[in-house]
Amino acid sequence: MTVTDLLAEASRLLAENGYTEAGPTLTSSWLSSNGRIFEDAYGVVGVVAYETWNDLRRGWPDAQSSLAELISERVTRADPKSWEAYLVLLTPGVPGDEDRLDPQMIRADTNRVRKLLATGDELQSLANVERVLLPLLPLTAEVAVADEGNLLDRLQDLLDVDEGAVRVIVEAFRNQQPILERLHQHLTR
Amino acid sequence: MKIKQLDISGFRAFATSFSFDLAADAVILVGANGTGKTSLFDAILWALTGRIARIGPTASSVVSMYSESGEAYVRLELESSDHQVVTLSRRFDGTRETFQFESNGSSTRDDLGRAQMLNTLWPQALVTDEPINALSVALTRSVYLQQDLVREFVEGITPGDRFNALSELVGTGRMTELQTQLERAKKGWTAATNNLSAESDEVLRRVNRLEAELAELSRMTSPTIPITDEWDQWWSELAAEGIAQAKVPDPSAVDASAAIDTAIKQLSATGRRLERLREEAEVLAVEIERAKATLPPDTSALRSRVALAEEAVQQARGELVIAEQRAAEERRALVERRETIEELRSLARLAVRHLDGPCPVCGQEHDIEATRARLQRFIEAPSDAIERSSPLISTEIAVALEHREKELLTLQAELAAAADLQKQYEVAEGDRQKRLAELAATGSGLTSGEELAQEILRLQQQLIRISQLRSRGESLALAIARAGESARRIELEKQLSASRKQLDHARANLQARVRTGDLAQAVIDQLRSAGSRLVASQLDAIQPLLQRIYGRVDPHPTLRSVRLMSTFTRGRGQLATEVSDLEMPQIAVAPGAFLSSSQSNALAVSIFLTLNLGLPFIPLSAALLDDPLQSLDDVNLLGLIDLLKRTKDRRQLVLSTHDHRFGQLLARKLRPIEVAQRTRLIEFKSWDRLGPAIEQSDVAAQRETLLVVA
Repeated sequence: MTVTDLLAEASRLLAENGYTEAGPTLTSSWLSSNGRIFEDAYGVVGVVAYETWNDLRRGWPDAQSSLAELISERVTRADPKSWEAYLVLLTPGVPGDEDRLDPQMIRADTNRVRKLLATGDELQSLANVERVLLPLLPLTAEVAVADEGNLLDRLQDLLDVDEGAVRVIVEAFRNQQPILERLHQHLTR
Repeated sequence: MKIKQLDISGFRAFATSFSFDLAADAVILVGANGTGKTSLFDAILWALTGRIARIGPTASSVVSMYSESGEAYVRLELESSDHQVVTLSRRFDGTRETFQFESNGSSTRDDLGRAQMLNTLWPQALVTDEPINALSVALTRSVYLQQDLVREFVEGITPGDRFNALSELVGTGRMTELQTQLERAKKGWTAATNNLSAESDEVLRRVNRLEAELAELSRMTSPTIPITDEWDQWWSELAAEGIAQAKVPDPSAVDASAAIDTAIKQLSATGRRLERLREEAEVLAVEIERAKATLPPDTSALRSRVALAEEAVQQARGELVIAEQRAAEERRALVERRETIEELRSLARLAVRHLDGPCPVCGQEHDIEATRARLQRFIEAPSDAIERSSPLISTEIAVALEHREKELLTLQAELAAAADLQKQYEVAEGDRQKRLAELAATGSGLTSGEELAQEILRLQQQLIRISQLRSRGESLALAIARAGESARRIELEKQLSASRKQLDHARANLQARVRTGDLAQAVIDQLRSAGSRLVASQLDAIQPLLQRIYGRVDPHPTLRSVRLMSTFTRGRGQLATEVSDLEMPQIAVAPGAFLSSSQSNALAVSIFLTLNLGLPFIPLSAALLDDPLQSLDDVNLLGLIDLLKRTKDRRQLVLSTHDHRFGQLLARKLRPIEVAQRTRLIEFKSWDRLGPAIEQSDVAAQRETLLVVA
């Protein structure tokens, strides 16, 4: 994947999940074209994509400083949002063996802003970008767990029995009707 | 339901009365350890379930040591999304616990109250054997993450217990209830089907019986003919034969068959009587004819001959007496002579023995030899030399007498036989006369053989009429019976048709019922495994959510994927947690062995929140976490707080921490971000015998949503 791919996907995801992207003026005042600024009710997110791992390793402190500065210009220290800054660092590049522990160290550095980082070995597809951004996204993921009523409805799929018969059984059970009589009526109608 | 208000008195760390306004999206409890935070969570759990497994089964331990009243009391107000408020009050005075549930202005107590509470909060519990226990498990697995049991679900309980806990949480209890109801219904259905089968067998027996009866009737089928004229004529002739009926029924009447049967029986009896008379008359007639040809023997000649023979016998007997008297005298003389000879022989023998001198009697000399010779002759003289003179004469007379006696006996026998024959003849004649008189007693006035012959003729003619009458009567009876059978056949055919229909219907119904029962059994059989499969499918469904929640915290640098894995051993479900390397999927391990304490806590909270958020229905729409941030390093702490921040939008969050710094961080992170939201901060400042010193406040809401990009 390219830097453009990463930035585009991150921007799409954040925008779709309620974030507002800063205008070009604000963005350019922060970093060059490989960076974006987003904000929602909870916090401010800076997304930076680097061509290589080395670029990231060298560039992230500046990106963090710039982001902190940008926020401090607009948010007072007393405002809770001043504690809600996140820096997303992405690169399709892969750390060398000698740097293999660095990504974790960057993640573990909780000074100033929380860092979310992903390198090429984790970013194998666009879908991997979402995983990096997960902590920033609302808990709106659809859960396909059936409620107890739906559980009974799903019996039709689970039982190797005529679906109509199972439906009648479940319906009778729900309505507190005599189950076997209803089933019999169904089978003999 | 969310928690709105909590009032506590005399409970655990709260010796006196405390009231907490918890009507908020997030409630943050901050205070040092031992200031009562956990007691607040326990109060909520106790109000709901009446038990706190964590502190053991002793109910009295819920009462504060410093309670002024000696009783523990907790009142919990819950509010639904449509603002319906219910209140749970629980009180324990050291011996007795009372519970009250209030809803819509009405209140119920104890068992009824508990049932209503369960029905309101978590109806799934009602289908379990121990509803309150089920509620307790549901609460502690999906709503209330207890401080010292954070990792229990991950590594503290068995895979089987984990699976069972999840089964109840995902609502398979309803399926178990369905299975139970179905089994009960199937049992009743089978019993009813068996009863119907027995009834069907009875109908089958009836059909068989009717078919057999009809087949029997069908073999005798013949057309029915009108019999009215013949019927009347027959009864008229019957009366002429002296068999009168008080009332002759109509041939179509119900009692016609019985009436003719009775009449024919009477006719037969009459016939038998006349037949007997006729036979007697014929026998008598033959006997009379035979008697005419056989006269009784004449006994007078025989009697004369017997008299003569008797005289001859008497005469012979007289002669024999005389001859025998003579013979007796001769025998006496002969005996005397024989006695003399014997006496002389004895004397001679004596004399011979003493013959050796002169005679001892007279003293004279004698010739001894001559004397001996003479004596010897006496000795040797034969004693039977004397002959009888009359024995032959008496023997001849005796023989003649015997002959005459035999002749007499023969004649007497002949006479007796002749007399007997004469007697028999007289008896037979008397008998004939008597029988003739008896026959005459029938009204015919018989006095002679000729009249008897006429009577026999009359009887024969009457017998012929009776026989003809009986034959016609039987024809009439047959006609009536056939008419009855015809009606019976029609009736039987009607009954058979109805019974066959009933049987066909019963059989079809039975087959259908058996099919229904079989299908129900198939459903029951499959339901047994379906519950486990449903749990597995529910797990599959919440798997993405778990992954997304775990990914938000992302506690491990390589083991970044988590999976709840269900397996089945001997029909029992097992649930295990597995973490794996996303880039090297073959690396998959149990978390306990590879995650640090901090990482394990983060995983446990992730699973708890997954269940809390992912399960469709949990007892409270809230997540209560008692100091989950312990043992977390900074990066995991931030990850978890960011997760909780997002959780607040979906669940009421009640969260405690012993760390004041973290408390402030939580207050900022969980702040209301819009006017409609509310975050409560409850600070436990200190604790003494009266309870904690508490300050409650609202966290200020953010005034503007966007500050940087605006």
